[in-house]
Amino acid sequence: MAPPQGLVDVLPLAPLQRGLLFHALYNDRDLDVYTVQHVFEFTRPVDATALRASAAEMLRRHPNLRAGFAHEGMDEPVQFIPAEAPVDWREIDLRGFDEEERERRLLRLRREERERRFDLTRPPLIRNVLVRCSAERTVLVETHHHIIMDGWSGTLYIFELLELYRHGADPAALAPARPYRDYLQWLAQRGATNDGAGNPSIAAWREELADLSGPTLVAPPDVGRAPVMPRSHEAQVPDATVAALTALARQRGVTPNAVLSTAWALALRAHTGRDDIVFGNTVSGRPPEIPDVDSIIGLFFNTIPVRVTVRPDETVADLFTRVHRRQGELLPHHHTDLAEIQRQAGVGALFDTLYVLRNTPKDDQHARELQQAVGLERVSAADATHYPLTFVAQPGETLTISLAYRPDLFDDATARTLFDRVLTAVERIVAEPDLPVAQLDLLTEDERRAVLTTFNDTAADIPERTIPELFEEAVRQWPDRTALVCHDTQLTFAELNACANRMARLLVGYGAGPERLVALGLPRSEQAVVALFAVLKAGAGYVPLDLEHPPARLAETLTDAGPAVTLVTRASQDRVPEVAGSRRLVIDDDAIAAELAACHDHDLTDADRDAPLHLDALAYTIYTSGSTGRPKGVAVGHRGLTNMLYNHRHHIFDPVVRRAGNRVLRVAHTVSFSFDMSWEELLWLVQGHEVHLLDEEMRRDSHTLTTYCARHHIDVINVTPSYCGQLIEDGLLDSVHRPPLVLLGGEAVSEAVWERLAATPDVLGYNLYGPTEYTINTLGGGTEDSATPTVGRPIFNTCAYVLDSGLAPVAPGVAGELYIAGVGMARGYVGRPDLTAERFVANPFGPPGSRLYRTGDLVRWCDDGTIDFLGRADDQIKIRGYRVEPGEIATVLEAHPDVAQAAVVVRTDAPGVQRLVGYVVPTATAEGTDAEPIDTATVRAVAAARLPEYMVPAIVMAIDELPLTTNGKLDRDALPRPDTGDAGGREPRDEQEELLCRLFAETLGLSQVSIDDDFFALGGHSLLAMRLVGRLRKETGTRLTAGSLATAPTVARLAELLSEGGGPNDPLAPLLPLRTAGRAAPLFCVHPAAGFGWSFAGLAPYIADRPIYALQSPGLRGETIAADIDTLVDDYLGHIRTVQPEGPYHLLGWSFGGQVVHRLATRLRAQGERVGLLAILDTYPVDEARKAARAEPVPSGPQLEQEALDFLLRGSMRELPQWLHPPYSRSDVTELIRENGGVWGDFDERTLSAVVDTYRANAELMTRMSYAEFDGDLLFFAAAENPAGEAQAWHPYVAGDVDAHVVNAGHETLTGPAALSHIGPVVAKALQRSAG
Amino acid sequence: MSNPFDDADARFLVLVNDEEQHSLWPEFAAVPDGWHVVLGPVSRDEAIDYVNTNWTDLRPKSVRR
Repeated sequence: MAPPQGLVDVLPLAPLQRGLLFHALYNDRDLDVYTVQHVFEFTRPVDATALRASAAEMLRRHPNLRAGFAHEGMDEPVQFIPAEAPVDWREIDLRGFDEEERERRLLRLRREERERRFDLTRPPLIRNVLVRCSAERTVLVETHHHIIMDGWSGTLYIFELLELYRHGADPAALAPARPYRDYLQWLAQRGATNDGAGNPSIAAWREELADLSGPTLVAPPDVGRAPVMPRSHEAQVPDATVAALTALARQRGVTPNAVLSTAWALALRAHTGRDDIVFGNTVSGRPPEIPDVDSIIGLFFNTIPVRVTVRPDETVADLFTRVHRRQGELLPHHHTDLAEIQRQAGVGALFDTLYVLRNTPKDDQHARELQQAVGLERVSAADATHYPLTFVAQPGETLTISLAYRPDLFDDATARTLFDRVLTAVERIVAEPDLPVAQLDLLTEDERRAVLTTFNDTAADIPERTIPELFEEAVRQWPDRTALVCHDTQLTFAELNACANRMARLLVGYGAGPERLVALGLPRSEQAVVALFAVLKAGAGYVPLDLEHPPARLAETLTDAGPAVTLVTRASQDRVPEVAGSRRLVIDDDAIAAELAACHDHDLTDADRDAPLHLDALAYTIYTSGSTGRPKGVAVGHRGLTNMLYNHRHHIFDPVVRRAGNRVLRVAHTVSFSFDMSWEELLWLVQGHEVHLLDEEMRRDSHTLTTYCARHHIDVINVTPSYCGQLIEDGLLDSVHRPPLVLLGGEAVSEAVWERLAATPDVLGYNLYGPTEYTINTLGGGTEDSATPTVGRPIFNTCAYVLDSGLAPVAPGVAGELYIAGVGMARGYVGRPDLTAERFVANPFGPPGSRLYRTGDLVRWCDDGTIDFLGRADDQIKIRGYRVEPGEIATVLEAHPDVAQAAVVVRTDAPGVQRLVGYVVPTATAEGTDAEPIDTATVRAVAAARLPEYMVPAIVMAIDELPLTTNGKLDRDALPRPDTGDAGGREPRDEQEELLCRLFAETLGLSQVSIDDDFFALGGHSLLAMRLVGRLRKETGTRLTAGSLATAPTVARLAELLSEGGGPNDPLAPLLPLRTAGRAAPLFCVHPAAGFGWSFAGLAPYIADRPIYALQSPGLRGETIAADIDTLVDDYLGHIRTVQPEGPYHLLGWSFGGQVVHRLATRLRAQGERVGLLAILDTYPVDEARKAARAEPVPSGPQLEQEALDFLLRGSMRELPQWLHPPYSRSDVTELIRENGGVWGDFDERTLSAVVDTYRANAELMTRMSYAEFDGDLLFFAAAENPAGEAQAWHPYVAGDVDAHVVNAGHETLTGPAALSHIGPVVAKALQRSAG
Repeated sequence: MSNPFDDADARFLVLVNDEEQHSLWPEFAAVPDGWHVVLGPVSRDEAIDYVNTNWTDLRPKSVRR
């Protein structure tokens, strides 16, 4: 290309030139830090004309010093070389001023020159100001843009300029210059000025940065502030250290540069807590292939990344040798464009710190001689970079190091600490090069003292008394105070203690005692609390069983724990599998109840037990998710419990009680006993306060719970932070009585919850942190301790250590893994010495022989000794406070024969919404066989039968293979987002649907939702359903229940439901579709006496691939109800046949519906149809035998009216207002329900009245039943209040087996979430067996 | 940050204290007071096998009867 008029050349840019041009263009208004300055100070009169001519000659002999830069209208930027460029030269005379003013003006000039931007399109990019200061002193301020020459060139420039000046600006004084163009040509040959494929340098960088875990960034995010000139700390390395460094480098065959850059890397590691360190390095970039390359003036420098992966076990010498070797291998690729390298690495900016080894041409002899010849006293250079931190090592006769920092991003002290850390690193490396990196201590004395001693100053005396003894002290002190409230039961301290004493004696009689376990398979009632204290009084340890866990999992737990005794009730015995070797006691069985009654009720003494109580005895074993595929039991002694009581008394109870006016506080117990966090409330009890135990239904329904708290003036509530958020939305803090204390635990606290608690007057939020492996709490802190969520400080007698990968403490502010030690340490994992020895490890910081537990949590110390939680170091996740190992879930998924491989992750595709997603590689895909596509719904259902509800993936998604990183680890980022929300559903059709789509999407955390997407299939669960319903109420005033969402789970159906009346989705429709999709034959569920069927919707998650319909009474719409059962059955059969003309039929009925399905089944059989499933929920044949046994008169109409009204009231509110007494009037009741909301609150009075009529009609119908014998099996579920044995009443009417199960729930809550978690899987299994 | 106790390729010691509790211990770190080496340095698998074979009662020695 021929250069345009007046130009001699148009050239491409070198890599760093591109970077600097980009930097200048990126911000073209403020300071450009790449404006470099040389200041020449002459102490002899200067010949200005000769000096100016010399500067002009420099421009002439070096065309690239005349370069300008252009990019507009071009594909690639260019540098253009004009044929001539006049020298930019000014002269200023300051001789008229006194010395002080002269210096001030000179300094100002230097600063102005440095801050005045160059316009890169208008060369020359070099300007001179000659300042005459006195007869003797003249100063030349030469300022240029870094884009035309680098630091090395700068020195060459000075030499050449002085040489010319010495010879009167005679061009012949210097040999012709080798042009910079040669270098640009060399680059072009290497393909370095483009990023074309096959460029070997690009490939080398890609390999160097493969699997990089992330960038190394030290500065807070730059919020686009105007650049400022950096400040710096500077020091001379002591001569002895320099000598040792030089000797060490020579001895190990490396350059001093390798040792210094390793020191910088280790300082960055100490500053960031990262082991995979990347920093920028300014390299000379002069290719040796170009002859005389060191003599060329121009920009050769380049900035390239240096990656240092630190292994704690490697010696420091091995590390710097590795760094040296690696950098040598990368030398041929030093010219590569940094922007292209970063693009290849794919993590954005790789680093924000720079390491510079400032090399200058070495000819000190010549330099001195030249300086003398021209009378130059000194030249000083000033340059800068835009990086927040730049570490510069300048070797010469001495070694000077400096750390430049941007004062807008770092304070002086932080920069100083880092600078000192580099100096320490250099000194430690040269002193002990063969030490493992792990032992190279870079902390200052102050830092070490703070993190090991000051922050852990928690020693406190606690008495040698166990919790049961302390409880007995409370009983003696306040025998008549109320200790425990559960429903209508109230126990005083004396009563609770007496019950516990009797049970403790019973347990001792059956073999419970020290170091032995008692399993608690009890419903959530006062009996659970009695049993818990009884076990401890007996000197034994307890192991809680979560009755909602699938039986298979409970069996695993029982086998692993091997309890001497297992406690169950009649209601729960069905859910707790029997295992060999454990004595099983049904505590409400008549015989056992009699034995209990016969036991003494006074406190046990050590003589009553096998061995004395002591603090090191086993107190409990709690099971938690295990990454290797099965749960693991954590065995815990008493000492930590007692310690926690004394800690809480000091830090929480006393202050809160004092502020509440020194009264007894009412404490809501809402936490499952299978969670160690359930102790928080019990410790209040041991301290004499009143504990309200809320049952499964109440503790889970945020609305009911907040209502309870308001009505009972609850003072203390202990919940997970996410649930707390829901309670706050439901008005926890809005009632007249606000709880003075909200305890949080189990998972990280959001800022929203923290700030809301902090901002509410008279309310203290207090976060308690602790893994099961350390007795309940390890750290604690309140809203008064920190403005942002904190996990607080170590509790009494507890030490926290934040350690790096080499087990060395890190400084405050640096992320590390949390290790804990102290009296709360668990013993280990039952029967798992391997897991115990790798998690409970030797403690280098505590008393000799003590242990540390490594939590796997990433945290950092704040300067005030509180700890911030940052995340997990491993895969463990928290789901609604439960700790979950994804590996355990994956193992269960992989056990399915159709699944070859599985991976489980929590996706947070939107803030605040976590969805557990299981990815499965089907066996057919893995083996390459062409089979049926995998049925992911069945895989999910099978997982649901093995895992607790919170561990069942919301979505199971089939993929062809698990994406792996080049290291062979699961590449989480490459896992596809579950294909929900955009699976071809319809767009919203009107404003209402638009609003609903938005609310669905926001609640579920999806970018968009079609009107056909199912809320629950998209990962919605009960908490999210409550949230959606709440938001809908807020935005539109429309009142819906979470139940209506179950019946209308898509936007389209919900919109229909909202637009009222008629249509296929009428909530009062006789055949209500709960799910229409699925390949297997439908399940029909028949309503109880009140006539509604939507509560069966909760079954859907358990039943895979099968439509579900609910039959509802026509009475709800005010239509007449059949007068006899056969007419009714005919009517219902007609509805059923509209969707399923022939069998096999699957039938399930609850209460009155149970009567109907039995009649339906016998009718269908009589017609020659197949019945696949007959399932009945808690109803019994109303035949002559029963009528005789009960001797109850047939209820009258008014009696049934009262029953119906009572039913409505109980479904709506926990407690009735004072003024309402039976007999109730229908209008009072319907009015009250309309006002109060709750389950029935959204129906109009006409419908409520129809409900009462329907209830009456159906109840009346039940008195006139007739039964035929059904020639198949019956699956039967009894409510807790009905003994399983009564199911036998069906025998006369069932030819096959009666498979009876007792559900831990009352008759009326049999379709609640807790009961369905039991019923659902059993029904699902029966449906699978029936194979239709 | 990787944890030194999880490094499958590293060399480990097995330590025991006076309560006969066992601990895996990375070779590079100094052995804490009150613990003595009963095995190693060996591979992680060997160390785990040793612990499983030799630590049969997880209760601290002082509470065993």
